[in-house]
Amino acid sequence: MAKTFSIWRLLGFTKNDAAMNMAIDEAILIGRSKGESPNTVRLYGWDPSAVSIGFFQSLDAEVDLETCRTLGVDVVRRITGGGAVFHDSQGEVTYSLVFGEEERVIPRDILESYRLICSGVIRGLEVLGVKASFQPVNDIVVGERKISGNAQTRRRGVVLQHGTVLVDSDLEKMFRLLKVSDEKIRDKMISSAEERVTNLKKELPKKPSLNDVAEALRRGFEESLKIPLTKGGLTEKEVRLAKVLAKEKYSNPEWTHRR
Amino acid sequence: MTILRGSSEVKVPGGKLIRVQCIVDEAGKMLSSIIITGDFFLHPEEGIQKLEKDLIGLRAEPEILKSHIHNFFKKGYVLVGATPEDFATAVLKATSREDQTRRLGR
Repeated sequence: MAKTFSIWRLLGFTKNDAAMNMAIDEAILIGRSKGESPNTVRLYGWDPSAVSIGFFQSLDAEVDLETCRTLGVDVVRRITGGGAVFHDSQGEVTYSLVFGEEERVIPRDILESYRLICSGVIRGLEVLGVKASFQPVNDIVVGERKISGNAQTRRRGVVLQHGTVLVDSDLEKMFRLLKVSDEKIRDKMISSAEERVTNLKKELPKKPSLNDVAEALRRGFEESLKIPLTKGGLTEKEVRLAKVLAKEKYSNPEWTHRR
Repeated sequence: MTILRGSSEVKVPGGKLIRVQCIVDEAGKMLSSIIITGDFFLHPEEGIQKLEKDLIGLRAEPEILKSHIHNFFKKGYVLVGATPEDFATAVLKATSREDQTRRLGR
């Protein structure tokens, strides 16, 4: 069983390419499962912009690969389930939380743990001046419109949840890159997929910087989860493993195209 | 050999989608290929390959497929955002819908 850590590490906002972002999350998860990495809150961005798809999704059904290539947008498959996400390099902040399943501050029940972790995101949004709410299973909405999507996996006694906050995503670009299901739109009885999504720029008088959003999320997690965060960096081991995973797994077409 | 290629898309209340693509060998009415995709959550994730593998080779009859799917989820796999019944619905729809199947090969 993974060791218990009372200290939570904060990895401050940095940008990486898609393969490295997913590789770092998995490297921390593996390190945590071996008792070598502490519980971690990580805040990050994507450069270049990227599309990530869920573990179970069909790449061809979800992503317009030709448009991604033309626009220089990375494509990566996550180890978490859930839907396809456009990570705009200029308009989105992603977080990840990695912790041992035995961690008492977070419920073992999957749905309840989503609710608690998302309460940290909601508190962060409140710090910025936006009132949002949790919409089970894994969304955060402002009114009816989604502003944050979240996804969780549990492996080797460790929980990884990552999620995104839309700040100023280019929605038009997003819907060119993602193939939105007709079924999904029809169900909501709305004509445009854009009406289902919002972002902080739309909700606030002044668009916050990505660093401001990351800082608000840090505060949100600390206050809602009652975890004191200590600023740190990746360990040498984590960096080495992340480089291997980025190259051999997340940049590998066999992984990306597996479904 | 004549085969039927089927597909389905099932929207789960609450937002998740389950898509199924399958091939049924018509002579033996046997499921010879199946892939289940979508934006649901399954823990542990590798269970999806196990489920697909288990379904291959079964007779493509609603009761057989349905009971197999329900039994699979009694083995400790946890679905989030969808239910075993939703999976059964999607698989049955893909293996039976006439308007979504087309005859191929010989």
